[in-house]
Amino acid sequence: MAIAAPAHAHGDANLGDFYQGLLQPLYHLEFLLAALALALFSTHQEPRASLTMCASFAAGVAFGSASSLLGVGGEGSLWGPRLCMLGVGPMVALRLRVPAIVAMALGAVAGIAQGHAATQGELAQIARPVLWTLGLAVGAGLLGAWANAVTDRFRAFWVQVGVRIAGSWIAALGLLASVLALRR
Amino acid sequence: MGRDRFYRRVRPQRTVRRLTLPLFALSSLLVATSALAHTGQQDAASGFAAGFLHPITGFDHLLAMLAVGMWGAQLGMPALWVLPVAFPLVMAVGGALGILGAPLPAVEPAIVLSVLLLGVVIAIGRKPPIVFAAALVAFFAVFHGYAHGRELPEAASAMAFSAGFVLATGCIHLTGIGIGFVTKLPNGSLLLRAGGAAIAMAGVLFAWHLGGA
Repeated sequence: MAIAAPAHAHGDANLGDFYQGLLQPLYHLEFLLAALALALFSTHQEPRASLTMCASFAAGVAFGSASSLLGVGGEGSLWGPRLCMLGVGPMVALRLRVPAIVAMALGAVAGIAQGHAATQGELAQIARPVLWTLGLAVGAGLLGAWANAVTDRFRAFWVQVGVRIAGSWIAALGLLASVLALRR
Repeated sequence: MGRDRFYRRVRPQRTVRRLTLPLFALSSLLVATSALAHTGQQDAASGFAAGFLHPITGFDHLLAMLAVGMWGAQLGMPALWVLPVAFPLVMAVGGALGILGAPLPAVEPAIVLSVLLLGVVIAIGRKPPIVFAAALVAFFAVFHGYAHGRELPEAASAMAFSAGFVLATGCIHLTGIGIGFVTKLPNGSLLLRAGGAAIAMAGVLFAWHLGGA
């Protein structure tokens, strides 16, 4: 410790577009909460529906990102994460179960909006589009897998109550985020 | 799993042991100095901190939301989750009205009334229908949310402020539910009702101050 040199936070490490894509939700609260709402909602579904929902969400993110990179669609997709929080949050709070096909479709639509909006906001910074898109999709898949693993491991009553409450918080923030966006 | 079984599983000694490490970690935050990396995130951080502190530093907000959690615990399932779920959802509607600058009459008196009434219902100790409990809590949530929305700071990140006050509100509810566990102790129900009476008395005090102002 006596000869310790000054720490240079993160140095000049360039972890590239894959890592930037992977971490994108961590830098944008709306994206993180929207993805979390989907992930928590998937935990209420039957195992098969849960799996297909997470997979379709990750694939949707990749598709949405690719379409944004190709210049398809406009800035309206920025409303995707907000609407996802607003719509899926209450479903988490109510512990709704939907048929597998509906879960898959919901995951895909939310994923496309999420991927498109995430890429739209970072277009100028993306140097390697394929790696960025891959990072986004892997991040979405990991979040879904993590949420399912946690809620599967901790099936206690209070965890289930906690998931419901988290759903209501996400919905509340979705409403506030939408109003703040309208005010801008 | 039933509520009684849940309460039996959460034994005080085990809970204290489990909380030691997280509480120690949290206490280290009190002495943390500012980090210099990522200075660009300051707006969001200050906005979140301001939002998080808003319900905690407002004693009327704090007591009302503690009372929501305590009442939920007193009523048992399903109020235990219905009240903490309903409150943030409706509070956000009030927050949206406040952000948009929509007029809402008698906000401060309604917040004071919420402290008074929620304290009284805990003190009485009766179990009303869940619909009535949820409606009462939701009604007052509009006014609490409106107050938070109106006081949104212009300089800080509005989204981070909103996240802060929603999260703080939820944490206070959970604290109230934790206090409600006292009902599992001998004479615990009486103790909880006494807590409700104390909150109601604080409500009277707030009303007296509001009338004098």
